[in-house]
Amino acid sequence: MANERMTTVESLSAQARALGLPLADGEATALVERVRAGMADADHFSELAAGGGEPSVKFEPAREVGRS
Amino acid sequence: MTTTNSRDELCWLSIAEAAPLIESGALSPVELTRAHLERIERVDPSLNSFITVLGDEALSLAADAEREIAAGDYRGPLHGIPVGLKDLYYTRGVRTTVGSKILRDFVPDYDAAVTDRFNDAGAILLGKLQMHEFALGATSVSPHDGPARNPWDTSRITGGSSGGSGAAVAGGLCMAALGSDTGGSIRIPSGLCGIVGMKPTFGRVSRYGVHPLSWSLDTVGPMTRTARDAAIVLGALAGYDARDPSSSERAADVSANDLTAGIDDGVGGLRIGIPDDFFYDVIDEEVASAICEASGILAELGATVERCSIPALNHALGISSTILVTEAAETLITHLRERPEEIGADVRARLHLGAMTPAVDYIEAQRARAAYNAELAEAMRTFDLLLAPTAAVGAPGIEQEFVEVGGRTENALSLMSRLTRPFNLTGQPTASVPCGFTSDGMPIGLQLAGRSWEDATVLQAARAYERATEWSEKRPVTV
Repeated sequence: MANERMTTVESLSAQARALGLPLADGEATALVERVRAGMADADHFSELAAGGGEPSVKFEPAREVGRS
Repeated sequence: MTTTNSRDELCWLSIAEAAPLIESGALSPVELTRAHLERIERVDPSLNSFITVLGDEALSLAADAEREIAAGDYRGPLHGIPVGLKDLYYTRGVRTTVGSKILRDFVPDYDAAVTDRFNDAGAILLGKLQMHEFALGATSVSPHDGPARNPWDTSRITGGSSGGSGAAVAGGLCMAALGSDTGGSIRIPSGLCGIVGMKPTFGRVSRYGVHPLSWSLDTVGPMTRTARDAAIVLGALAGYDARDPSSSERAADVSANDLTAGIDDGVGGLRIGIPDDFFYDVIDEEVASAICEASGILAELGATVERCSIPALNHALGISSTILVTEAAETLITHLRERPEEIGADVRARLHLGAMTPAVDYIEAQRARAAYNAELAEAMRTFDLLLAPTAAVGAPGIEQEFVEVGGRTENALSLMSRLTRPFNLTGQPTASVPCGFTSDGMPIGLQLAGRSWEDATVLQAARAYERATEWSEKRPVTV
């Protein structure tokens, strides 16, 4: 089973210190959820990056579009 | 004798209407500029659209224009036209704050390429316009300058980040303004303020001298009250610029930059796709209904309108968010390190997110973007244009944190750029055009996205639609 990515207040705070970014009290806590959401996005769109090949575009005649 | 009322009416002329009057000498650029400055003085305390007003400088430029035109040296349709610049365009000798506290006293010693282009065209710069701090947000509610206010209801946001540009054009304070669009910052305020906003093909307009946010997404473009005016302004701005690495040599084709030539050719024969995916997942019913109505009008005008499925659209937000915040963090990392307390809390949080995004995720996003773009390009082989709503809801209140959409409670700010980002990833030309109003009187915008380098087709369709409707002729009553 693959290892899951982990982000905690402690790991973010350490990362911020390594980047020379001061995080105010509470900022790391608020940031954790956003970083986790970003990582979830990345896991999701990585499927698209890995897929390559045939673009999956389909067309169909107009329905319920327009007045006529 | 010109009265204040009749002078105020001048502020509602389109560029296409004013230009021949100026060329013939029937309309004085000084009179036109004075009318706008008077209106700014009277109305802008309600809208908060200008950060810097260049009153004396504008009148001096207008007097120069008047002399030149009288001497037979008419430069073209922007000569003597009052315009505004979002406050991230460098203006030599005039402060350029980028909507920030950190750059409050920054005075560039050179002009942006587009500032030069405006100057060369003889446009009259009225001032610098309010914006979301560092262009990293879609509300234009600023902790440093206060909120830009929507001319249709001054308790509502303009959208952003080019909020001052949207308010100023919609409120009759300038005849055109420049915005910049990284995730929708031209189209969102254009849609929410009821004007035309055009994000041109990436590489068509130089970004030299534009304070950067995201190197692979930032795009410069016009905001006007009509599609024809957008074509006039974009034509004057477009061109290759070796000083900007993202500028394309394709933009050097001067004839291709004449975007007004076929603008009245209509939509007959054009094939327009309406993607089922993504755009209607979270949307106000009134907005969806307005888009449906608009598609019907375009069909009546002779376009072939078809629904289509482009599944990659469902990845647009994740990919664009990752790229945008990471590139923004790289751009602004020094400010974030050294003066974080001078950055607004919302922008600081986005920059922190970008700084904490792993490099592998950023690279993965760029790889996914290539696959995404391939899928959109496939769609554009079939369709001349894609049609979609600009924003999922009408402009929210300035203090409003959540909105009800389709029985769900959604974060108002997240909704703002949801529907515009898909067309930033591709760099394809995309306009927002007024297409109606919500029941509480707020403008609704529709997006028309074309093939890269076919900006003229986008504006041609926008013009056909606005000519068949009256939306772009409405004026806000609150100002």
